[in-house]
Amino acid sequence: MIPFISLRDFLEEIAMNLNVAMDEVLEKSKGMPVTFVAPSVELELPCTIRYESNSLQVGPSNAFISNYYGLGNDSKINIHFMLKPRGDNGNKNCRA
Amino acid sequence: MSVAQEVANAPFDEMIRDLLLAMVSAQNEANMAFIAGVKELSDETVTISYTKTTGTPPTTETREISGNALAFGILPTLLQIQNGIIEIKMAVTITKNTSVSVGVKAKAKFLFFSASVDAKYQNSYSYKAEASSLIRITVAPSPPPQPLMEAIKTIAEAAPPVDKATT
Repeated sequence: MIPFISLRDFLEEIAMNLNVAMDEVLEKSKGMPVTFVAPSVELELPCTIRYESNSLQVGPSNAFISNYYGLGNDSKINIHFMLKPRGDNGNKNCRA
Repeated sequence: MSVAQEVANAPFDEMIRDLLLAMVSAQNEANMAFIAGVKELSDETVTISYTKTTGTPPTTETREISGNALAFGILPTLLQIQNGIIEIKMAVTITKNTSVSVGVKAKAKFLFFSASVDAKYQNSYSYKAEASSLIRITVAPSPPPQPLMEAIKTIAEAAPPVDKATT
């Protein structure tokens, strides 16, 4: 178990996890009359953020970091993910 | 089971995937009940008898309208989950990804795990629920079962109620 990782890796992995989950739901529910998507996912992540090795390091709150380091609840990251249709890159001038 | 293993009890992506699939499964059960109801009503013949008086001098005849229940516009009730909000208090833990398999997950440098912060977790590790992370997932069905409604319309149109004289 790793107590701290860089903020960039942390955000990247969270987004990737959500995308993988969504892809798998669509794949597994293919052919079913109805499927469910998550148009909105909000995360409230109490954590400890510190500057180390020239980068911001994040340690999300859990029993490990709380008991061994006495940390994990002094900062909070709130992330709100919204569903974006695949292929919509936001460029209005771009045509498929 | 070591503390680290027990704490990191579910991969984060799998937890979200399973939550959504549970809703798909529940809705599909409701859909199957609805489809069974449609089939039952299509096999059910409804007959309505009435008396009609026409002409001079007036003549009376007994007539009846019959057809399947769907043709009369009788529909079973479809309970659909319009939207839902799932909130989970959890503790996020991170491990290094040492997986050698191929795929999207293998590209990840780290693996995220989530443990629900329940009484066992709180008591076992003296962990306060207030310190836990919160994930709030809004779910919505997509797309609505429009093809099923079209099929019902087709059944009803193929066998419209018949109005005929019986006497």
